[in-house]
Amino acid sequence: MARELKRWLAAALAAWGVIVIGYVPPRGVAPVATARPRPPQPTAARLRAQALAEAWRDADLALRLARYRRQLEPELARRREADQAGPAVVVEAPDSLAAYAGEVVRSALDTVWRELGLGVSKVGVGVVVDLWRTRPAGTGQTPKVVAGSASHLLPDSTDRTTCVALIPAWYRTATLRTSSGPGRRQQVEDWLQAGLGPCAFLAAWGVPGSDVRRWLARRSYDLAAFPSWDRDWSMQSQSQWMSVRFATDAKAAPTWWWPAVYGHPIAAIGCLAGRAASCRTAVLSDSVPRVLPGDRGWWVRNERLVLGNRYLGDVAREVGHDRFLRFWNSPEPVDTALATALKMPVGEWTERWERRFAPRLPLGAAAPVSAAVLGILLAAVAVVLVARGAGRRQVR
Amino acid sequence: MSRTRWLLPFLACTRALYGQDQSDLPRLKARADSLAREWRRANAVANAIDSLERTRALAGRDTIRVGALTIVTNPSPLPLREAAGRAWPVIDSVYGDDARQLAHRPYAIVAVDPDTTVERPPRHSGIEVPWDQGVASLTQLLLSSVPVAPADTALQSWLGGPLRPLADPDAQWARVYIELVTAPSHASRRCLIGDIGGCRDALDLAEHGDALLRWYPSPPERQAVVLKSSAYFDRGAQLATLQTCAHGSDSACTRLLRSLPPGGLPRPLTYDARATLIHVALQRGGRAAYHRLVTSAGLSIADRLALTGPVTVDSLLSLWRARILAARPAPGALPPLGIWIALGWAALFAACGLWSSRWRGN
Amino acid sequence: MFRVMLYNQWKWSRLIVLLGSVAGFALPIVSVQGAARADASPLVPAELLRTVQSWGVLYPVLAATLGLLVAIATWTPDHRGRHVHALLLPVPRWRYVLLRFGAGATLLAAPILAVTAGALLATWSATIPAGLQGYPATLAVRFALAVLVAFSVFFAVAAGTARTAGIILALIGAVIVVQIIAHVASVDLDLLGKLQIVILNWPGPLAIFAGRWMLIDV
Repeated sequence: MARELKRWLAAALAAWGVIVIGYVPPRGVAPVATARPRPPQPTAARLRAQALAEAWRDADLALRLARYRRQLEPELARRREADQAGPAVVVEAPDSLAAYAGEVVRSALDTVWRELGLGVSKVGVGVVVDLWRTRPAGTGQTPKVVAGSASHLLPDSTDRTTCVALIPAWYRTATLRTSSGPGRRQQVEDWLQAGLGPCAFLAAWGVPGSDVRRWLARRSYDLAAFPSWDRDWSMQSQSQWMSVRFATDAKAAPTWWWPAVYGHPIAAIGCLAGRAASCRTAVLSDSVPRVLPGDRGWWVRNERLVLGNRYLGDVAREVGHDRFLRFWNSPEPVDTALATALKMPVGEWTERWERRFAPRLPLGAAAPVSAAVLGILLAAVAVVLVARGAGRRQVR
Repeated sequence: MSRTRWLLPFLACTRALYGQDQSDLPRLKARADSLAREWRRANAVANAIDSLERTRALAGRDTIRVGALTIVTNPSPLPLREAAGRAWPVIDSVYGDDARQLAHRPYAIVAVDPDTTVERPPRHSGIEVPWDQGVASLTQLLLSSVPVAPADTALQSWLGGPLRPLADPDAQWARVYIELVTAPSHASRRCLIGDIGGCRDALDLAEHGDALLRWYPSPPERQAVVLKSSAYFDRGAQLATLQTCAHGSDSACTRLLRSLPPGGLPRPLTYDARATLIHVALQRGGRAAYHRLVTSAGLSIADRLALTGPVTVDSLLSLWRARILAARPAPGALPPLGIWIALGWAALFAACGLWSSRWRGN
Repeated sequence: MFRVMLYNQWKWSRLIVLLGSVAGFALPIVSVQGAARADASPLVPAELLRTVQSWGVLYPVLAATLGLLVAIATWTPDHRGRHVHALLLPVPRWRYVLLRFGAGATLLAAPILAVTAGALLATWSATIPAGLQGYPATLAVRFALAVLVAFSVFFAVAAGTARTAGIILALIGAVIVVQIIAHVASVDLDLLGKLQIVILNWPGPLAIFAGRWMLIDV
């Protein structure tokens, strides 16, 4: 018996040996050849021209925002003197639309302002809604300006009392035109609320303390991009759009979209997987190492924590106005101030917060405990059934 | 309707800038102007280098000519001459006299080693093709990337893409027949039974009237179009309207279809249908037909087709319809080898059954 | 008694166990071919993850196959002998079943060990890009659980009579036929999809098989 066993064992070990010799260490594998031609690569000169175009767009945006702030200043001053709540509004639109759009936007912004509980604020907010698809420019004289996301000019040492939000919205023109239709009014309010971004936080709590300000500035205010403190959890968890998990159609259950998951920073992925330390890093750290260096799309590139755009809005809702105000103005380091406001470690709270929107991300090969227990139970039931069946067996 | 459903990608991120003093405005303007000047210079240099790259890509290479078709390529085992021999008659039949411009507008093909462990050099122009491609796929490549000057935007947007030779004519004609029969559009059914006005509507050649009512005059058709595009409407405030439409409300379906941007309403027939119509006009119109088509920009598409023919557009549509009907695909018959394949499998399983140990007992 | 039974089952299923062990050892090693190394053309992390995920599909397949084949091999001689031998043995029948099960499970430890060894060797020898890490232990534990569940289920099915197997097959066939008829009749009924969700998703009995089997992940 032992000799026979040894022979089989030797055969198995020999096969293992062959595999080890053949495949260890692992070899690099070339990508599969495809008949599809590669697109031509841009020359170094073309890349430089593109970089300069991008730099010009940034400079042009800064200039536009500064001009808008100057334009809005008299109106903001008037409001301040008259103790009048609400933002000052400018609507840039074709003549055919300007008057109507202005009316809809002002009315919707007043509603948003009221729902967010923003009264007369220390920091005045100016909102510019730009409904032009492209801005008129001399042909070929400047790079093309593409309408992107909202931009904000925040207060600084020269002006501590004004925040300007520029909301490009040419693709919302159809929504505006039909704003009296069912659900349309709500849409207009939603995208205007989103466009307020950090300006809403400044209007609610003033300019943050130096530590919080530096922390948010290093992250481009990504955690304060959406003022969400007026919303219920139930509404958020059931209908929240996520970049990493969604249903492919209305009837299907949401599933993980792995290319977007892996496109996120490592800390954000770990946080989704329920690791409190990763959550803490994703919230507090400036560094965003990623697994996949390539560009996975605009959204994924800018999201350092999944759904991080509403993080501070949700913190504010959870801890209440006064505790959030203490955190906002705290002279302590951010992690201490935030943990004090949350009354628990930042990583732990963030991990629980993330769970409100999505289940734990399954990483690696670990089986869910529930599935493992169920599997063992199933095995036990199967054996018991067979044992009982054997007890009744008869020879015929 | 939950309001948070409308928090679309727009709100994810923000660009937060710190304020500048108003006295900074001239400085900001100067910076933007300076960058614009730099960009103009850099753009001009990049354009010049791109132009030089194109010239360099064509210099010192093999040149293959078949008719006016010209291919500039590096030495390789690619069977380009054979492929060009097959592609040229097709190209010539479509572009006619205008195909002569290909003598001055060559294909630039960079043949590369299909072994991907060999690093490919950077390339700034030309079409890259692994050199193990066969004649058939190369012919398809040549037909789908003919370097003729592009037609005007109006023609391309009506057609739904650039005008190219039909790569697989028999299959494309047959597909159009199936489209004509199955499209959920009254216009295409009218066309099928011989109403040329229906063909005109289905091919988007009529200029007057409401496209929605011309293409989809009945409520079931409008519902079918909406449900076919349900992925587009399946969000936000439109979701409720979509559900109402799915439950049979014609006003909801019409509202959804009318909310589409101009030109966004799905047309009853696809690119293939319109491309085959143009090819009928080009075949009918002789060697100068393509020239007449591309030089008549500014006229309506119907008038341009009539000029290309040169016959009335109704005659052209009659010819096109006749060819479509003639291209009706053969009904699903048993393929020639089908009987033998079925018999072979039956024999195999029978042999397996006979081989069973049950029949080999003592 | 157990030793004798183990030896008998070893004789009946040794080829399955040997091949399963070789496949289990090879699978993790093959799945990291292309992992970044200085002396080889490296795979970028995206491709490494894609490769590992693609190969990961084979772990539950291997577990199910091993469970099925060993379970069949366990009961085939009893069925051939019409269970006379088992009924003549001076042990309670439930104990006989447990011994059979224990012997089968013991034999299946070999492929589980092979997967463990292969996974450890694979993660040790591959250069894993920064930000990723190996999960050999969790992979091995999950594989062991999946093998155990598959073996138990098929052990129960194989222990039954041909009639039992027939009923199970007929049930599966009936579901497929109903699905086809519903499809033909344009009835909105996704029986197979629902069944898959019920069986493979929590709290389904075979949830252990579903999901991703990533040897390397974030």
